[in-house]
Amino acid sequence: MDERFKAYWFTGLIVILSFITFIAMSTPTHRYLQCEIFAEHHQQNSHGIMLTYKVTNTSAQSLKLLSWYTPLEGFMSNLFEITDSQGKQLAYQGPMFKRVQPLEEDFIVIEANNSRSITLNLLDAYSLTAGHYQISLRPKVMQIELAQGSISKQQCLLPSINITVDA
Amino acid sequence: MKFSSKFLLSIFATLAFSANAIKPALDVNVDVETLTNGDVNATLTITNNHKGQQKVLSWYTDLAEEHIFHITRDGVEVQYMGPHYKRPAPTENDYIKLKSGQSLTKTFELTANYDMSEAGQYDITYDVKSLHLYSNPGQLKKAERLNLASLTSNTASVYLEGLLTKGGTNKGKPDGGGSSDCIDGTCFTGRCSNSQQTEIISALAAADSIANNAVSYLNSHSASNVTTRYTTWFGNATSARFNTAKANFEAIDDAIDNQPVTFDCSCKKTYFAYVYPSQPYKVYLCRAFWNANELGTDSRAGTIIHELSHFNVVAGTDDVVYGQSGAKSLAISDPDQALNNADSHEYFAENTPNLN
Ligand SMILES: [Zn+2]
Repeated sequence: MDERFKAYWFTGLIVILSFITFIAMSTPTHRYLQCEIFAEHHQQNSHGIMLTYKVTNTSAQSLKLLSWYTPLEGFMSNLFEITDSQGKQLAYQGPMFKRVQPLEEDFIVIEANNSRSITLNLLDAYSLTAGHYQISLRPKVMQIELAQGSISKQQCLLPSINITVDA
Repeated sequence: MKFSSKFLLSIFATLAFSANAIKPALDVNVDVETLTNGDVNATLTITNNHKGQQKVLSWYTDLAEEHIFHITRDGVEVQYMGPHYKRPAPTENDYIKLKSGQSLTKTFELTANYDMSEAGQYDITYDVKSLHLYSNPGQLKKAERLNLASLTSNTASVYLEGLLTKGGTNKGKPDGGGSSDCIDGTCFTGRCSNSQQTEIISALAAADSIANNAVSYLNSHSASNVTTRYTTWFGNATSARFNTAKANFEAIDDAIDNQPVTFDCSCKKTYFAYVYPSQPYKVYLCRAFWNANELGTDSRAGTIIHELSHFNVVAGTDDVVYGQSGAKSLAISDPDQALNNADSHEYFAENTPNLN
């Protein structure tokens, strides 16, 4: 128990020291997946505003996650709720697709205790300018296919993160 | 040695062409046929009447590649809406070889590439001009000199009655602006053929009727007396939620009746459709839309409801979950999100299977 705590602190320290990052951890209301979003607190508009999404299979079995409506498929739907310092929500500028049935290729395999992550440029879908923003992941329903073929659904309800965009 | 033999060949070719004078070696014929669904097919036949082999640039035998037909409606040129490609100089592989006496026949649907929605007399001619049309260097030089590297056919004529509606549905909707390809305030981009335009108009009328039905349900009920139709798709009703549902469907119905909706037919992907929620009222239709029934679950009418609900100026819905079973679970687990889910609106409007 003590060992594990040390490991957490050590990892946390490295993260903070190497780059100033804001991490939001999901509350574990489920058994299979844990989501996180993180982004450097200060970012420059000219370099793109990058946000990383990470999903971890916290279970002891391999599973398949439907990529639809998750950041893993990129901007195919409105993924984030972004509000400026006045509390005004930024409009999503990207597309939304109505699809048929998911195909094998729409699922992403995540082995036990493994994770997948993707880094997206928020400017591809939202018009952020200089200022402070609060960003959260929209609570889409994730479809998880377990090894036995059974299906589980889960939403990632994450606290929001804050970033500051410099002109 | 190599150079001189090439040179000789080229002289020989020029002589061969001159011997044939200006008489075109390729004979081009166009036939036009109107189909009952409003589409117009043109059949192009290019025949080599020359003694030797002829080569024709393949781009100029394909409407999907080039603007190969010259079309007028009552004498006025009809705009070509197909692609224009900027290409490198053609290579040998870009030419189609025709032996003496051989011909090439291809049929193209015209209304997807030319605006032929208005009534009138249409004259259709195959007409291409390019210095790269032939690969025979002799022909090319001659053509350059005479400025006539072109290939032209007879003119085929057809009278079309036009797609303009038989009156009734137009409620004074403004046009999308700029685009001339509009019928009663509904506009088309991305090369919708006449038959697609007709099917879209019909699907939009079906969407209007299911939207009206949804609105009248919501007008005749309240949060305290909702039925299984409401609770199946939107879950537990509170007066705030019920009012959101009502406002959303009123906005969807208003978009159908009064806003300049544009449909785009260029998507060839497997999706039903897509929109940019920040860009009303343009709906991109894809393959699954064309495969769907007009009414029922995941129908054309329902897809239009779904897509219109996404626009921020309409209901600003999201895709929280897809499909009927997903939407049903969401109604139970998170009614607020159900009112934010486009499919939930679609299924409520489609009402299939029928719930009271
Ligand atoms: Zn959608």
